[in-house]
Amino acid sequence: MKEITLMPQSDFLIAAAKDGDPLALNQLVKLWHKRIYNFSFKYFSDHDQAMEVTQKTFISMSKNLKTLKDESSFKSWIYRIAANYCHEEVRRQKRKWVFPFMKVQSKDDRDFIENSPATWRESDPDKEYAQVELKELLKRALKILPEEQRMVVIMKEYEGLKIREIAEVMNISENTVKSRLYYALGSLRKQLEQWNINKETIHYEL
Amino acid sequence: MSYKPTNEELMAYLYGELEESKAAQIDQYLQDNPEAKAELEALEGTRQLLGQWEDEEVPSMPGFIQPHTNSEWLYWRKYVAVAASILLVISFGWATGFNIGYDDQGFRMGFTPASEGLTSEQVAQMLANQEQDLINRMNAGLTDYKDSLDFEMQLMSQNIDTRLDNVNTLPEEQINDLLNEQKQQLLAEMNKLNNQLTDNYREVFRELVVSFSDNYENQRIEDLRRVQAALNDLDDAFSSKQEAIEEALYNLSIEVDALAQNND
Repeated sequence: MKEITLMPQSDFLIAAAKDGDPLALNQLVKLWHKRIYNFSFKYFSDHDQAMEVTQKTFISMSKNLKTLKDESSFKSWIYRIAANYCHEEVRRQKRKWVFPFMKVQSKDDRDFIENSPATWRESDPDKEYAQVELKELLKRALKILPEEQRMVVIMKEYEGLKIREIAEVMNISENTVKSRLYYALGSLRKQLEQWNINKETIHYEL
Repeated sequence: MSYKPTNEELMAYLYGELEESKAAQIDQYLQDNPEAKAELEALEGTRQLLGQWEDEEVPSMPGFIQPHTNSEWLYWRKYVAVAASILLVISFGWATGFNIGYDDQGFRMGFTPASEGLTSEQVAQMLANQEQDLINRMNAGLTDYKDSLDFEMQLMSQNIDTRLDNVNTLPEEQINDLLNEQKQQLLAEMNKLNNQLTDNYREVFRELVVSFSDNYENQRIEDLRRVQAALNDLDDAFSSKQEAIEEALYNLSIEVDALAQNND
């Protein structure tokens, strides 16, 4: 969210990229790459799928940027592309006969793998561990949500889009966005309470 | 207080996207309804928890290829490539002396200057020559073979003739002697065989007699043993009977004595 507010006004970049300036195009990719990746990563909880969607999104962006009429609607435009590729990816995964290796492992193995932090970057291992743990739990909680609710929550909570913008991206009414948000937050709250996660049980200051 | 905001309005309020008048209305409502306020605060708490998941660092930036600016060149590139390939083939052919030609005689190609091919008459002539050559070779071979066979047959017939001549030169007495000698040999052989056979019979008979007498002797001894055993049994039976009788007599005498005493 912080990055969004710090992000420079990119209208002139978009205009330049539209005119076919490769430097501007590259700069635009650089600016938005992290956002799109994080958006799809939170949607799938999977690096490979997130990368796939991110790349497709930017390829489509560079191809179709000329068709964008209003530079100010670039944000919802690019999120719409990403959201469409997310849906497509979900459909593709459903069609495909997948045999994830995780399925071979027992549930305990999987929990162990998912819960074991890969690296200890910070000096305070307690805090680091709590962070990793919370992240894994949030990941799981998001995954339980129905797709359309998940997407709305990610756009609102992590991408900082306005309700109006989300409605534009997903091509639904603002009221639908709000009601999806309401149900999504409700289920997330219930889920986190069930795991006994709240402000008090998190061991470090919020 | 009859006003109750919808869930949608509460969401807009939670995210601060509600117009001010509506927001004030909801502020009032929440003050009047502590449980609704608690509910909304819980959702706010969930939001704060969600906010703890920070952005992932992107593992790798995608390589982004700049599109080629010279689109004119892009268009002509493939034709230039085709032309270059043709040129390459031609220069290669020229360098290796490869050449190709076509006229009403036919299509020809080669690494040296191509000359005219053979006419059909020439080809037919060549084929006929080859055929004739083959027939000649076969005939010569057959003749050679026949000659060698004739020679061998001649040699063999000569051999047979000389042998027959040898046979014819032997005198009649000598032949008779030879035959007699053979006869004597056969008779001697027969005699020997006969003797051998007789000897064999004698031996067999002797063995038979010996085994019979052995058998007989064994039988006799066995019988005697049985007789002895029977006699022993009889003896035993006799002595046991005697004892029994003696005992009975003794008992009888005691009883008689007892009776006599009673009678007394």
